[in-house]
Amino acid sequence: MTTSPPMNPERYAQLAQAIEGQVRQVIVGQEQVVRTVLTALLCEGHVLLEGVPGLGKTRLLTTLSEVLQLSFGRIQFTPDLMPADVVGTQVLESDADGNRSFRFRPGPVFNGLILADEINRATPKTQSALLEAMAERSVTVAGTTRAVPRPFLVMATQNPIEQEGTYPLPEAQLDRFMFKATVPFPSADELVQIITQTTGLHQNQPAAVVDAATLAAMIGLTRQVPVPQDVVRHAVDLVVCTQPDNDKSPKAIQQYVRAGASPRGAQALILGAKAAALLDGRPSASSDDVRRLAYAALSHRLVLGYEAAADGTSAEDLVGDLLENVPTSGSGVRGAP
Amino acid sequence: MTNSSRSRSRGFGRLILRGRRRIRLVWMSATSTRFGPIVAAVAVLLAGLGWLRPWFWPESAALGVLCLGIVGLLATALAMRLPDLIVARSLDKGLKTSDALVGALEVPDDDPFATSVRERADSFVDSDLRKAMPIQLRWKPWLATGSLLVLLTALIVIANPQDTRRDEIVAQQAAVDDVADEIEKLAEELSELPDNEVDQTTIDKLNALAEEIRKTDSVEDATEKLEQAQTELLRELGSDKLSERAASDGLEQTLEQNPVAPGETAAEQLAAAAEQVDELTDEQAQELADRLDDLAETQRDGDPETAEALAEAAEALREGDSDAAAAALDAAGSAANETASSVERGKNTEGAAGEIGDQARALRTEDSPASEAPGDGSQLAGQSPSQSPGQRSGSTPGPSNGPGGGPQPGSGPGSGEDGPTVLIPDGGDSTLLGADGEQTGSGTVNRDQQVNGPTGSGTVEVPLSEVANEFAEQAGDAVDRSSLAPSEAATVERYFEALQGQEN
Repeated sequence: MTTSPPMNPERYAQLAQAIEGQVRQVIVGQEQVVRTVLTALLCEGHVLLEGVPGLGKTRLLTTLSEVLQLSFGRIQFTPDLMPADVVGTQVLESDADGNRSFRFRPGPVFNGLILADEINRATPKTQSALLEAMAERSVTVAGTTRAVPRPFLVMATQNPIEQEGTYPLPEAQLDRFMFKATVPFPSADELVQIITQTTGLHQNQPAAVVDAATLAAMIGLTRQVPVPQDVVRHAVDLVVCTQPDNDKSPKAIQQYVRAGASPRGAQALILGAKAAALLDGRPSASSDDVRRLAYAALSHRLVLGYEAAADGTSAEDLVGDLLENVPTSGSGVRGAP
Repeated sequence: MTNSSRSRSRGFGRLILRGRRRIRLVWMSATSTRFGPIVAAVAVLLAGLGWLRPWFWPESAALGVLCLGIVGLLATALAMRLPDLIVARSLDKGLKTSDALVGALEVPDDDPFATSVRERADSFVDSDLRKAMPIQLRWKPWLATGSLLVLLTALIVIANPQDTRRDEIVAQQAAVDDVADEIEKLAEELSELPDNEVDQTTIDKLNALAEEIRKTDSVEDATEKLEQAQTELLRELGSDKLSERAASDGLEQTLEQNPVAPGETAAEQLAAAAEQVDELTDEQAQELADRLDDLAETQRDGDPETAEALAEAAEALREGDSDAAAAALDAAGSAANETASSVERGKNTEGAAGEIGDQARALRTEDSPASEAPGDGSQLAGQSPSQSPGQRSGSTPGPSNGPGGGPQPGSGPGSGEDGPTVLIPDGGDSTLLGADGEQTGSGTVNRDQQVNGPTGSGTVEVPLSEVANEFAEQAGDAVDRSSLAPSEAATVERYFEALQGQEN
């Protein structure tokens, strides 16, 4: 039995770099999405991916499961999907003696990495079954509560185009996702590379970089990263200024937002900033980290009014406006930064 | 994170120190860029006021505003409180260190990341702060400030129309101060006199007046105050004082010319007479009683107390009561002495009023150069009863340069007995009128008259008929202003009426 070396910022950065390297062998482009997913993973948070089909969302998860040596479960959400199809169910079995007993057959939620594909196509009841597992990191079936394995990452996808017959996630459930990332369509060069890479005989196979224990150590180290009070204050300012009834909020927020981000938004910003600092090889989080993660952590937490839809204003536009109007703490001295 | 400074490196401390200095410099630059044009504009406006009004303060105020701005800028920069956290924040932003310095300031010593956080902060200690916190020089505000300063210099250096007026004001103020000095000097002189010869209230009033006119900001005000003070002092003297003075002076003169006993003053003579009463014969006592009755009659209006004592003495002498006569004479001497002291105080007060009046006229002349009208030297002055007959003095200050300063000898026979005599104003042949109104002598009046303004001079001879009315009028004015006893004033009035009647 070999003992892995203790986790420290340097090793963390090396491992994270190695993970990203392996993922990029398979996933062409999408650096921002990969970084967001990896950040959420290192914070043990969940990610909501939004993008049209065929952009590599599933592939990203399967690659990560191979690199991280985590079990992978995929749930294709459909209107007839039942909660038991997600969390598992009790089945009646009889042994050789003819004795019958109930045995719990775990659902796909009992995996380290879960892809909840097109989550908005299932009924709210089924969605809630998964969302409970995401929040509590445990599942209760037939009166028995069972913990899901750790690390535990749920990556849900939504198709922003086909909205007919879907059940949009309510705000409370959206809030369970640490980040939301929009998967952009690849550029032409990236597409050429994707085509070349996926249509030949040989396809890149990612190598395993870390195991679950190492990943757990990395997650543990992420939480230890120091955060200056100014940075915490800036994250709080950003979240507070998403509230439409706040006097200091930007005008666009006051006009278009019906409900602002919850405190979970500020938690996501700070925790994400810690992971981002380590990923960049820095020992402490900064306001810049917070600002870089603002789109991913806040856009899905803003509940927009009909005025926003009428004016064509998106949540991302509003977060951009927020960042422009809420500066980081400076010296407050005229002329000095 | 909690604040911890124990494990900070020396280099990190120096970086914070350099950052603090740089922030002060950058602040001064930015503040002067922003407020420099405003301060310069205010200074120019103030200096511009000095071109519009003869005020003394605008130029000083303009320079003061400028200096205040500079000093205020430096003082504020030095006094500006810049804690380490503020400096670190600014450095983080300027150096783009992703809050490394703020993190190093706050990280606790026992934090597992403390060492790496501080090592990272130390990697920035040699950073060039000039690039991190550049001094932003915007040429438009500085050009505006420079232009305004040039304009300010021009406004201050170039002579402006108000300078002359300011010089005049300085001169006038100096004149006012001189007058105040004179009045203080007068008060001091009066204070050196014996107590019975001067009224302390007068001295206090003079000192207060000097202080008051020093505070005035114009010659006009000072003159007004002087005239008010003069009027007030003269009012205090009143007609009672004047008749008292006439009585006292009359008694002194009468006894000087025709003594009742040895002694220099009336009081001494009366006291000596009291001692000699026992030695008088009946005839001498009767004669003295008659004298005393006559003297009592002259004192009746001005000095009733002395008059009463003299009348009592006369009555006692007629009754042969020498003791009572001696006591009454002693009382008369004391009363006469007291009256003389009171008269002396009044004279000094009157002299002070006259001096104040002279100063007021001098100031008024200073205030209005146009008043340099040729003087004719005909003003009667020195109407004090103690003035010797045949003397006049021109007391009008200023450019008046007519004749009238010399003593005029009286040439008439003047047969009045011990009575005051009055001088005809100006002229070679003066006529004296006895106290009883007997007029003797006549002639024309010659007087020097300045005919061609201040630089001209000449002598004209005019008939008395042409000047009699004018003289009578001037004499009337002079009598009204003076402190002559009513009986003497009436004598003067009768004299000039007679003069007018003669010519008519």
